[in-house]
Amino acid sequence: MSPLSPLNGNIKENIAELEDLSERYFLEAEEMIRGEIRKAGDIALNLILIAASLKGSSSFESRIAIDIFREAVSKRVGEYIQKEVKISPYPDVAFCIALEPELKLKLSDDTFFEKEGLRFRVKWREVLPSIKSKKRKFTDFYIEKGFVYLDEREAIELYLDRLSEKARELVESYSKLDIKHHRIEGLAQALTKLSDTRTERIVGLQGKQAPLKEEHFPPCIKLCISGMGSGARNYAISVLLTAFLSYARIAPSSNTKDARISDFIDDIAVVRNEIIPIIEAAAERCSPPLFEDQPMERQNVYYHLGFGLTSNPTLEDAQKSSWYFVPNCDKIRREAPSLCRPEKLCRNVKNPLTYYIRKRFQEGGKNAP
Amino acid sequence: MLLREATPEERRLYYFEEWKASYLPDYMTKSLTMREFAFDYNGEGPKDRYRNFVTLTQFEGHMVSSQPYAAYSSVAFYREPQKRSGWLSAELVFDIDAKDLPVRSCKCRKGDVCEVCMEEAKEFVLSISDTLRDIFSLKDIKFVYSGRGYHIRVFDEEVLTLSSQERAELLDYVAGNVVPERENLKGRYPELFIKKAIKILPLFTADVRKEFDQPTIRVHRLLKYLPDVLEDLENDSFRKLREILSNKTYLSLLETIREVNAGMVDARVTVDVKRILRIPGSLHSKVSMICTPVKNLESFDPFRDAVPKFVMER
Ligand SMILES: [Zn+2]
Repeated sequence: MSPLSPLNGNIKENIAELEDLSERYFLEAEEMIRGEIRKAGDIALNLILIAASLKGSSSFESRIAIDIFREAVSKRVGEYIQKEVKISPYPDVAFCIALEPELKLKLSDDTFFEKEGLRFRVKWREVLPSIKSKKRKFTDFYIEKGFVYLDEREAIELYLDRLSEKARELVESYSKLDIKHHRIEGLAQALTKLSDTRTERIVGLQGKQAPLKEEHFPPCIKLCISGMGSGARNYAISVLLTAFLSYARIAPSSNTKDARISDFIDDIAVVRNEIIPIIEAAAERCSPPLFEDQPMERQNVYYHLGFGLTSNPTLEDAQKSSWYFVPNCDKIRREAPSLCRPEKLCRNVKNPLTYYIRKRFQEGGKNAP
Repeated sequence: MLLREATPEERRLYYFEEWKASYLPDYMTKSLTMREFAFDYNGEGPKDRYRNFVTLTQFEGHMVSSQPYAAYSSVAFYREPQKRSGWLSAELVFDIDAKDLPVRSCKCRKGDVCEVCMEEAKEFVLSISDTLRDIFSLKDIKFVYSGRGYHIRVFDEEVLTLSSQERAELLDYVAGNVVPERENLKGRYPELFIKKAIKILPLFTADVRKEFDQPTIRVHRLLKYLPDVLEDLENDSFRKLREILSNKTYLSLLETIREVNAGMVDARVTVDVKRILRIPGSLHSKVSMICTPVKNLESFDPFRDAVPKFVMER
């Protein structure tokens, strides 16, 4: 077991003792973060996770560290899986095996599945990490009698999803340790730098505030705007449309769960003049018109915008309730089945807001001088 | 049969003369102390919540003395049920309500039920439980007639700790709430989706237009070619459908099938890991029927097996 193995409890002491020895591991970790190398050993990878933990387990740095980890081990996992899975653990993935002692990836013994290229099988519960990360759905898999049958690519992906999940848990446990070490802090800074350039790029591409363009709205939002019948109108207007319009206009690239409108704008006029009128008009088109027989729903709109139950909000109210985030497509399909009428661009999109941002980006590109 | 509300006197008759604590199924008695109970005494909703019983006798006493309008218990098991805290696990539940079925072959209006739609709800329940058994290999599955539809309650170890989101994903599969991506229709899920389509398409009448976004003319066209379409589907092929419908209409039809599928099960019940459900054996006073544990679903007839004595004597 390596001295920095996650199974070894005394990480803090070990870091100090290994100071000299570890120089090359730190260098390796730095090169990995800078993208100068694409493979790194277990210890360097673990150092990157430890560094990320200084920023908190849900930080952008942690997400990047886990991405680095995932990419670094993906080749090894591929090789590991191609060999007979039953054979002794591949030496180089000792770290992975320590993280994941129990992935029961069996070769399927049925010739039918063999013929279909589905060489591997796992119990259905074992694909839950991939489901949880929203990458896959049960309906994507070939499931029978409690087993999910996988081809090689799916098996590798699944293994990586599980490893990433474990890495996330590791970062979380490290973040409770209160580690202080200048080289680790240096690595953490490198991660921050990387995350800054990445967010900048994303924000630069898609995240800027701009007036709403209805022609770029996804089908479900267009449906909301055209007005709904009595069954779906409350959800359509005061939940979905309200959340969509506000994020699309005010914070299209927000990914924090506890955002406030006042963090992004300093004039409530944006809400009053650009968002509310669309909501009012959509409500009017419902049958029966929503705000006529349920005037209280107006307050609900402001509530979902984070202003609490009110009908005349000010920016200072913007923390009285939480600013409801745009529900994912899955959730819309379940809670208001009639709203989801997907078109081509919806296929690779999991949230209506993403549709809007992509469409805006695509069209923007086309119209650019 | 008249599904009218039970009077307080009829409730008294039911709990004094007919109901027994032994109506409670094993899966309830075994976990009695870990469940939250809730009661509705006057038809205004379950306002008496956070109830907990230590013994069966205590529970029996409460039912007989309060003769509730409706009685519920949690699908969740708690360390401290009286506080609804210390959540340990929860049954996996599917709620199929005949009165809310999006398509039915009877003439019932929204909110009503009859023998025909009750039977259709039952068929849907059977198809869900088949999927749970064959695909997910779940074995400990119980059925309860809820008064206007059915509850499927699953107790297998591997589902008890599923999160709300994981339950939602499982529901998407078993209900058929995803249009299959793959164009080749091999694979268990596309098969399942087609099976559901075969059941649903014949129920498409011109009325469907009102509920779903399908112009009448397309529905008529579809109905005209229905036998061919169905035969095609039996062979796992959407060829005929593609032939008679434009690409856009074809996709929109698949979406409509998905939408109907989704409407068959109440998703809010499945994803709520702290939900309360009617207690098997208790009286559904609004319709004067017994919420009944079902041993053999295929032969179960609610209008014979879930009717309290006082209704027979009305
Ligand atoms: Zn009916």
